[in-house]
Amino acid sequence: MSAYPGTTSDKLELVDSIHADLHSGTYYTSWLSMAERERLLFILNVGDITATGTVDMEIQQAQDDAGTGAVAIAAKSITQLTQAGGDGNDDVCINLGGAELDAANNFCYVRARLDFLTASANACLLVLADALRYLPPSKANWTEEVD
Amino acid sequence: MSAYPGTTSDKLELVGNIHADLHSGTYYSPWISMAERERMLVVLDVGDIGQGGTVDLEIQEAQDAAGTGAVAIAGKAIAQLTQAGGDGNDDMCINLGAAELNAAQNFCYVRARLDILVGSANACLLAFADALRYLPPSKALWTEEVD
Repeated sequence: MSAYPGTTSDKLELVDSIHADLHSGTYYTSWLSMAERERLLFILNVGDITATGTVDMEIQQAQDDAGTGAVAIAAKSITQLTQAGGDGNDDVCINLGGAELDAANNFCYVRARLDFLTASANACLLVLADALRYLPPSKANWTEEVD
Repeated sequence: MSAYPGTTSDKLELVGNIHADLHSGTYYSPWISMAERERMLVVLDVGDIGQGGTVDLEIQEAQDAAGTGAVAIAGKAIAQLTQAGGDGNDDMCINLGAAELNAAQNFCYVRARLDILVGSANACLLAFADALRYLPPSKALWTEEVD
């Protein structure tokens, strides 16, 4: 028997994604509740960026899933990616803990904002939840899970 | 202090990737050693699939980093994706444990093989290692990690 029982996707939940495509403009994930999630990992996989294009990602928080009071969370953003800066075909991530939200003002929801401005870029975003407080991870966002 | 110390990327290592793009043909991740890794999670994000296109993903094992004896691991493949089958904009994952390799024949390396045939498809692949035996996860494949 393995000293490390279970599978990785038995511990990590895929909570949202922005699918791979040649993106242009501003994109958001859904508002994700942190009520039962202690940690999130936002993973941005970028392919080629058009010569003049820029790619930005930040994490925002809000008081409900309608986005009431939406505001960026300080320091939860990546350095801007550009093709000229050698940033094509890169992977970047943002870690977020539930304790980093403004709980005193009832901020309990988060989302990622992705900006592809000036020009387009191939990219995909995955949001994984770790350390769920009560329930095992939902498998609802996997079309297929092979064990 | 959080009851769940550390960040998710302090536990999860990004070990391989195929960057987001409109892909066509056969793609491989690098060969990844399982010598110090107990578990892997290979995640495939697919955007739109071209008309007539098919997408397949399987995990292969080999005896060294040059791919000696490369062979698919039984049962470690997804069901074929097609646009007509409603499979565009899906996420799939394959879990792999080190104990599932043919260790008796010295198979210790794995890679993902991604086939996008007939037509093209937007896709990106990320491979994560979990439960490393000795060392903390390398951060080498992250261009930026925001904590």
